Amino acid sequence: MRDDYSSKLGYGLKWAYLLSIVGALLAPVFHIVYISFNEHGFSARIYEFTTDWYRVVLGDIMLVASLKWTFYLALSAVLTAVPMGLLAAKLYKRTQHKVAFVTLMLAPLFVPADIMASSLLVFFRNANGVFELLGEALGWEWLTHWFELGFLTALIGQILYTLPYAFVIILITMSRYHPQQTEAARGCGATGWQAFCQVEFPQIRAGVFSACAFVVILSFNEATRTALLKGGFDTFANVLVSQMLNVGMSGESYAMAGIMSIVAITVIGGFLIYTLIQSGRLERVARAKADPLMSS
Amino acid sequence: MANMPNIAVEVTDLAKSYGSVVALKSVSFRIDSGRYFVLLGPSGCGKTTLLRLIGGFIRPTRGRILLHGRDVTDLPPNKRPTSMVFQSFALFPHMTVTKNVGYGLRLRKLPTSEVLARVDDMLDMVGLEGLGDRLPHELSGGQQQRVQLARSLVLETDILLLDEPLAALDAKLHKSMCIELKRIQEKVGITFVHVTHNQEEAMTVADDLAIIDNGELVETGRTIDLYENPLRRFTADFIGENNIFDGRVSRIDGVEATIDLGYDTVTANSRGQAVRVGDDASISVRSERLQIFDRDGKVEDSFYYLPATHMETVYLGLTTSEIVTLPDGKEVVVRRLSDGVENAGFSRGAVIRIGWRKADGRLHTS
Amino acid sequence: MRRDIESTSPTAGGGWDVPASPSPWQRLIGEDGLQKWVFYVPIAFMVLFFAIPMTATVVWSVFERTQFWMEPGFTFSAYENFFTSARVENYLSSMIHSAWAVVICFVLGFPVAVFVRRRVPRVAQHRVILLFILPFMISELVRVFAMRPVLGRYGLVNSFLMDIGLINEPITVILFSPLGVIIGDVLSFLPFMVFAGFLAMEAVQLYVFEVCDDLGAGTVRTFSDVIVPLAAPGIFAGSVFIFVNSLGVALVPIILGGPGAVNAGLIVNQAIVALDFPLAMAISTIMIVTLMALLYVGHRLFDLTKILEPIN
Repeated sequence: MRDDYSSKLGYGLKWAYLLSIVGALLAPVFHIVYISFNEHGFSARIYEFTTDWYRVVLGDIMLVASLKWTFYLALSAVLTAVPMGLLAAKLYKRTQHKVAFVTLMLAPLFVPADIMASSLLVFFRNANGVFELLGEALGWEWLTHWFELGFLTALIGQILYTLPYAFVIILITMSRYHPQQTEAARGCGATGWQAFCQVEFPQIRAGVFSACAFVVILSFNEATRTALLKGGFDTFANVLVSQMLNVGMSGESYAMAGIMSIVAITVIGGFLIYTLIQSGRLERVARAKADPLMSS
Repeated sequence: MANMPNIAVEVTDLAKSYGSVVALKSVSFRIDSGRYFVLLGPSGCGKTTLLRLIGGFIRPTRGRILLHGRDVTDLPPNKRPTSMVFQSFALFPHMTVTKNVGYGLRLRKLPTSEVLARVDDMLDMVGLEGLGDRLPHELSGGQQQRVQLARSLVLETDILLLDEPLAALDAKLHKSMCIELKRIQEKVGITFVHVTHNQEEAMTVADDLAIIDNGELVETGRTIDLYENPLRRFTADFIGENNIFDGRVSRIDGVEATIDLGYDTVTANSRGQAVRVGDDASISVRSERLQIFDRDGKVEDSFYYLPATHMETVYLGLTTSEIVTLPDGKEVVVRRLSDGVENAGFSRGAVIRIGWRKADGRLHTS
Repeated sequence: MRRDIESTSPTAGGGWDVPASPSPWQRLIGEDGLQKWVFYVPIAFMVLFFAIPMTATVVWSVFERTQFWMEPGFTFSAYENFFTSARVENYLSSMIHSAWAVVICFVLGFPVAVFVRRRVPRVAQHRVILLFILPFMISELVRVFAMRPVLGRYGLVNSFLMDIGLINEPITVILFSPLGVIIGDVLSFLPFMVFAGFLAMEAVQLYVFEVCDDLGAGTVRTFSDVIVPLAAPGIFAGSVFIFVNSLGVALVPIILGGPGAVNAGLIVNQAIVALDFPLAMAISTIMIVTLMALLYVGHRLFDLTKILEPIN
């Protein structure tokens, strides 16, 4: 409640509205998880709890293999997109062409997945053609397979998807960092790298880890770009999509959707709870930092 | 023959622009080693840019910087014999005071016992004994600045740079911190280069001053010289309370130049400046060198007099200022130590004369 | 205690060594070594894998189609194909659906952002907004898929309405129809509107509300005359984001739309599957041009660079 004169009822109603929106957004997902534990699947009148569907899914070797690819892709995405986001954020702070820079970094957000993936597909095939010609002309065998559709191309698609998010999250965290501290560390004899590791990183750590969590989840959930840009493998999300489109709503589909949701909820939910606990403590510290006594 | 003092900092034709924005036009000067040197100027004049160029945090667009005779222009901050104290928020918040102060020493891979010993000594020197385990946000503003000082001094660099170190502290603390800074500098003996816009702060700590305005070096010299005998009009306007009378050179007699103020003419020593008849020039007189006389009182040969009208008396505690206007409307301030009387008996609008000793007028051609 | 100063860089004892003057190579790469160039990797990546393919899309759209691929050329046949077929009607109607989705998202979601900014204490605001990250973090796949058992004939909504006796027959118009697509879009993108609104409201300081109250402006007038103009850049950016993405995400019409329901993204997908690459590129070009036109108009109206201010 911000002021003493506004009505408590109004405040309560607005909170109720907010929570019902969140509820409406989440309810269908919880519904799916609920169904996935039902022996008789959807549209059955009786409910019998079972983990059978999950056992079927996890016992399917192909599906487990796809989980493995999902994991590799997500890990690679984090290891590339987050450091790149960090580098981009640092360059942004220093550059004088801020608007152009940000426009280019955030533009992929405004291009829908199917469009971006289609263009990239054509791009890679053309590039592959060019590289093949080059490789044969120069006799450099290793050049010819660079842009064949495969893990690398799928990864590039994912980086284009996740890098803007990583960039923004890290940028927002860095906006609270005081650059004089890096300068003070340099003045004490630290190299640029030392100053970053020992002084700056401990303070932006939280933002970097949030970016990591974000990228993992985005990559894990992503299907469109991967579908178009991969070659020779399937991620978990790809399998789910083909299942949904071809088979429809089977018990396995629900279980797969359930797995994806449970993973997302645990990771993010856990992260949320962690930040909530932390933020209480950090609040007090931040308030003290912002306002030290100025007269003694 | 007396020993020539070592030159700690020598700056030659130093300039910095950001695209089309010129932060610093060509600046050249020297700082003697072991002195407390202050860069003084209004906000946005380029003094902080200059300091950061010396420290190595910015690259110059043009010019060279020599520290103790070595060209450091292309060296980063960690390779220069300087360390810096910032205005605020420069302590590492995730480290204790001891860790903060010992940071540079640890980077040099000194043994822990020695690091701790040196840190403790330094904390004692700056008056923070016993506070080693505190975190920065648990300290007051003044204490935080002392920690920064300790962190820089413990490195035993030749030159300490201070970027408006007292700007974030309240007025009462200013004075005592100024005196402490001066005391520490005299004790440690290294060169301090201190940037501020606060005149009083500069006068308290500085041995030597450089006045910067609009990206240019206006004047540099010993503090007392700049106060008593400023060469440039800007310096006279910026330091101390000076009254400046603008006019034209009407006659030159050897080293004496006569300025036509319109309502009167005044002569002053050209002090080595190049003067030509017809040039614009000004005369400045410190407000405490002016006196008020009765309109029809006696006339001394060694004094200049101007007719004026009394406007207001301002009692400021230590000093009392009388504000008078000249016939052309220009305001002049006459200052004196207060004599315990609120009003010296002047009534508003009273016609009086102001006067100063001829020798107290200083000529400025720029 | 005066010290004699003789040397100039740090050694363990506290004195300083004499540095060598830098070689031309050192001066080129900077004292910190090659580190400087590594910072340009992300932006180079973006140029190589985003800017170039996007501009190339326009070029490829005028190529000639071959059986399995395409040939460099200059022809508008792909565009003719698009504009003379039923696809263009589908494209336009999907634009209308997307526009509806944006409007509904705004009406439902923006008040939440205003409420959080205004009534929740500053330090808790981010925590409340985090609540909206949760649905966003669950795969869109699953969220859209989850709408079927909710909106279907025997789904949650219908069972509930029939159980409480409001209707006798299940409502079929909410699934496998344009309405289903709109509902799917709204539920997919509502969190974005809340985020965008939250960021946009950063531009409206609290004292503005107090001034409005003081002057006696009612809720509606405060909203239309003060809040919306101030928050406009952020709202517009968020709206464009939702509009473009709902136009482009093929998933929603596939799963929730009726037979033949398509949006731009799905048409592109179908073209690729049919190996008609110039056509896919042509539609992509049209979408990109639409997007750029929208952003340009928005920038002229609202100055979108204001959104950057909280980051600086």
